[in-house]
Amino acid sequence: MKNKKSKNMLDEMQDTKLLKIEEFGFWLVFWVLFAAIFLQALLGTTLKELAGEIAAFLAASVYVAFSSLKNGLWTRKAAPTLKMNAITSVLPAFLFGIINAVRAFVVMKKPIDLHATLQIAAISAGVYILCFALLEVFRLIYNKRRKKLDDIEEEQER
Amino acid sequence: MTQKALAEAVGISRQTMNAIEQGEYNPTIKLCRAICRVLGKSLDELFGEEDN
Repeated sequence: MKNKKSKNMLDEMQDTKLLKIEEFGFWLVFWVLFAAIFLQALLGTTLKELAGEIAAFLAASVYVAFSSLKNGLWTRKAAPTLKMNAITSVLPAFLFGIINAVRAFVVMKKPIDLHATLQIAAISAGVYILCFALLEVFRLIYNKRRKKLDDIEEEQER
Repeated sequence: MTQKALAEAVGISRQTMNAIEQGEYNPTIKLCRAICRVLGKSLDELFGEEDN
C-alpha cells in the first residue's frame, strides 16, 4: 500500500530490498500470530479472549486472498486444482480436530467417549467442507480473472 | 565520469550503481535507459552482449 503523495526516497534496488524485508516481516508476523492463536486455542482460551488476534489474522488473510485473486495470482508453487484444494482442506480440518480434542479431553477433562469423539469429528468434517467450498469458489474466481487478464494482454499485443 | 557523479545524475544511490556494475543487481529497462541517457550511449552499447 504505497502512499502516492509522499516522495519515495529510495531507488529501485533499495525499494526492492525494502519490499523483501517487509515481505519477510509480514510472513513472520502472520505465522507467529497463527502459532499464538493455535497454542492459546489448545490451552483453552475462549474465542472472546482471542478475538483481537483472530481479527488481525483474518484481516491479513482476507487482504492477501482478495488482492491475489484480483491480480490473477494463486501461489508460487502450486496450480489451483480440485485435487489440490481437496488435499489442502485436510489441514485446517485436522488442526480444528486437534484443538477441539485437546480442549475437550485434556483441558476440560471430559471423558473420552464415542459421543464426544463423533462431535469433534463432525466439527472437523464441517471445517473441511467449508474450507473446500471456499477454495473452490476462489479457484473459480481465479480462473475467470486469469482468463480476463490474459485476454486483455492478448488484445494489447495486437 | 565518477561512479558518484553518474549515480547522482541518474538519481540512484552509489550502492545501487555499484551493485549494477558488479552484476549483483539487474536494473529495470527504465533505469537502464536513464543511465544510457546520462552517458549518451545506446542500450546495446552499454548493456548488450559482447561478441566473442
